[in-house]
Amino acid sequence: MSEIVEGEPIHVGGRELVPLVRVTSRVRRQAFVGSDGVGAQGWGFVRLQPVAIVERSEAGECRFPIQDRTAQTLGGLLLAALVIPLLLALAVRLARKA
Amino acid sequence: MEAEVQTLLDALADLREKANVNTCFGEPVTIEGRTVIPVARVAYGFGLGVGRGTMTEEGAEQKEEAAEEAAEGAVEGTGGGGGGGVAAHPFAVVEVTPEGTQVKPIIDEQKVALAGVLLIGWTVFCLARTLVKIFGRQE
Repeated sequence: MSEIVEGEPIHVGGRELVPLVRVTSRVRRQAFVGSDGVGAQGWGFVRLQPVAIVERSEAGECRFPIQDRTAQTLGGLLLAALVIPLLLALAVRLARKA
Repeated sequence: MEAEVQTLLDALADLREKANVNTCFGEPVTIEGRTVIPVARVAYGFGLGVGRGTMTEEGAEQKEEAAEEAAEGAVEGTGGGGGGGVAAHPFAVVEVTPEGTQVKPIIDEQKVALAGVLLIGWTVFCLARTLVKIFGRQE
């Protein structure tokens, strides 16, 4: 389950900054009852990732996205790792034709 | 025991509702007219288990220590365990100045450097294999 939630406003120098956070969570619970025993088990996790911060002032409202530069950089490197073998295979094919 | 089981199930159900969104944004720090707000990505998780069981005579016969007790009646046991963890990683910095507000992302240089080294190794491997295919065939 994932949704974007507004946090408590942060007041700085006459401006109000409202954080927007994506909350991803998953919970599993299980209980069992038998003739010889009773028990329960469960697990859960919550992930909070900042998405943007909204500035509200007298001039109006402005949204500033917060991007995950690390994930973007790693994604670019992964894309390069996938493209490089394709380019080299193309070079081999051209070399064979020549 | 049933009350403890219900308490455990209720605690897990409240996990999402108790998550504090403002955990991601730290206390603003103001220096020379500029205010800086640290932003982090936070994740936490845990697992729990609890149980109570009764050993039957058949089960006890396999264990010499509990054989005598099992002969008198049922042997009960209760157990439980759990574990959890929290992780917080720097994500960005929000800078508020009289001119305006800026968001400056933070890059995890260690991860990027490691990925870069792996990419270089992968590229060298692919290049070597390509050269073998090209020049190996010509020979």
